[in-house]
Amino acid sequence: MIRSIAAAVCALLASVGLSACSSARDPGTYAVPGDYATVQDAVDDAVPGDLILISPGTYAEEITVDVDDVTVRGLDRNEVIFDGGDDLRSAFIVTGDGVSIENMTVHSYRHNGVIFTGTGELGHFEDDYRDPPETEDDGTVPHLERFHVSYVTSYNNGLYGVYAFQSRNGVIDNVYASGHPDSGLYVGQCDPCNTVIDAVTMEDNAIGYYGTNASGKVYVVNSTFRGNRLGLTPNSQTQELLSPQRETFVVGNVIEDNDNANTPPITRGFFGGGIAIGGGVANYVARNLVTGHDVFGIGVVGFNPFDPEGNVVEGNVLRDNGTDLIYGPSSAVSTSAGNCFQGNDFTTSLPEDIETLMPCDEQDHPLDEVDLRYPRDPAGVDYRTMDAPPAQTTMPGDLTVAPAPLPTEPTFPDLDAITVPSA
Amino acid sequence: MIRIGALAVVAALTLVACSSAEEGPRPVTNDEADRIADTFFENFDAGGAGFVVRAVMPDGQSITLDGDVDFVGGAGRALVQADGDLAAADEVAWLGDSVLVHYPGLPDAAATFSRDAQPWVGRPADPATYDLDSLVAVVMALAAPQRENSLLIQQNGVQWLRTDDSSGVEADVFQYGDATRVWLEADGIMMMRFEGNNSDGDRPVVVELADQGPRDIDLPATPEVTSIQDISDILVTIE
Repeated sequence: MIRSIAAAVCALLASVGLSACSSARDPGTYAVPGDYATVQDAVDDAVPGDLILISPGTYAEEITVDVDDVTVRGLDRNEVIFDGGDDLRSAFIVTGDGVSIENMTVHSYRHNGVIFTGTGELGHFEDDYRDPPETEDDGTVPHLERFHVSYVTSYNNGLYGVYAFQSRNGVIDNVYASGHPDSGLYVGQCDPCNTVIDAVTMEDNAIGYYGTNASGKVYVVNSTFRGNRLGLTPNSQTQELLSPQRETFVVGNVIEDNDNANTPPITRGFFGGGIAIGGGVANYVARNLVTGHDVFGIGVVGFNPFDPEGNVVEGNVLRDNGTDLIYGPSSAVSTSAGNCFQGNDFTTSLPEDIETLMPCDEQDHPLDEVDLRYPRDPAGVDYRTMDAPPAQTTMPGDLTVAPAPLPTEPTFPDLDAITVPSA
Repeated sequence: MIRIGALAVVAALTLVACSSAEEGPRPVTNDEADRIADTFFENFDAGGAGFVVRAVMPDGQSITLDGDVDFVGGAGRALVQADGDLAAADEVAWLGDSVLVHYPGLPDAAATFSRDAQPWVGRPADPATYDLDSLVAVVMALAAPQRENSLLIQQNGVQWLRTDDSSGVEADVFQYGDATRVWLEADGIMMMRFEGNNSDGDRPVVVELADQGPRDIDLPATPEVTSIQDISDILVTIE
């Protein structure tokens, strides 16, 4: 009733040439500071289609974005800085669909740089209660739809640099993340995720990319994972919904020297690997350059209680790894379980002659158990003391032009067109 | 292998027991989830703490440890009061994967066999074999070098139980699963108490933490330590 009265009043005002109903306004471009004192003020007043442009400066804000189809963009990636002061929780907590966060730096937040979450009211700061996520009638969980993170630098936050949880149909491109005691980039608990990670650089984190129970068209392509404790790991876990993880495409990435002890430690974390498929299913790892890891280059391994199934590792180039290729399910598994290796350029493997023992012929091959021993992870350093990264490439183009709404589904990369990158 | 959160480790060590909620339980709020997410890191960040552990072991043996822990350095030292097998021990120290247990009667016991022995016995940590080591593992699991994920804390059903000022300081009591509980200072993130049971469900373990801050643990010097393989035959005579 109240809404209908308000609408009637708006109609009367419009009829006499007055426009006082902000909720009915057309989308526009708004400046911070300028049109609004803070980014949160601009977001609170936003309507779908708005572009919020942020001028260079340092902002101590934690911002909740619960409006749909809004773009928040810095005018200079390296000079628009959100500083959490090791006190604020996350720079951006996005619960609206179709939101883009672009061209800025976020650092020193206690939890995350940028988080998208489909868990509804979670992330608001009211002292409200929250029950575990409701499942839909078809057994799925509701997802945040359509998200975009582009040309964002995120460093020295307490958990993740960029985090997409229960979110899908997203693109994460040209993001740089470093100095995180968990992962620089985390996509978790989504199915189908329909998410493209392209041209990102993850350095000096505990883990570069973490993909727990992230299933269905996750693409990790054309990116660099360097100097972390572990490069990247699609994996299955019971702590999150939607297990087991399946169908991530890891193609055309540079993955090097992920055995860096001068990084923040993750609790009881793995140390010294390039790519670890931890209990994942039907992942495709191809044409990556994987070099310089103390323990292994690419491992297809069990991750209690999940064992890997149907993963394909082909056409990768591996150099200077403790062991280039590893297959290590739990002792309950005595076959290749549909996992296979072919056409890789490598020297060492466990089991030996892995491509002979585990060819990609859609057959299940019996195998002897491999005794894998992982080294204890070194102590590491306090994430808050990590160096700030160097300036990163700023977003090209006319930054004052509002983008088109994010599509229902992102454009997926043509994997056949991606070749092994050079170092 | 790759990652197990501190909460998961603690939960694995301490499953299931009674539930006697005086208020609540209810789901935790966003703010409470954030506090829980931070509390294990806060212990690590503080450096160390004073602690008291009270536990009852499967054979009914009671063990109390009273000492200090250096979470960052992975070291600790505590006085031991116990009946049963551990009655002959009065102190424990540890560093990394090594545990040292002090048996004041060991030198005299060795002398009766015309052998020399120092009172400290050193051995690799083995929580699956030694009750003492399992209690040390619980203490060490109360600190983590990273924060927890508050989304998952809420999703996994952590509950607020009640407030409690029985120690003289008001605290919020939170519960994981059926029994594991932590006391955080009211409206704060400092952990005051941890309570749970070992995995068979009938071994209550209570850890009280106090005075969180850096600790420099004074460990026994090497000449004071006898390796367990050199003294195990004598050790069984005093246990």
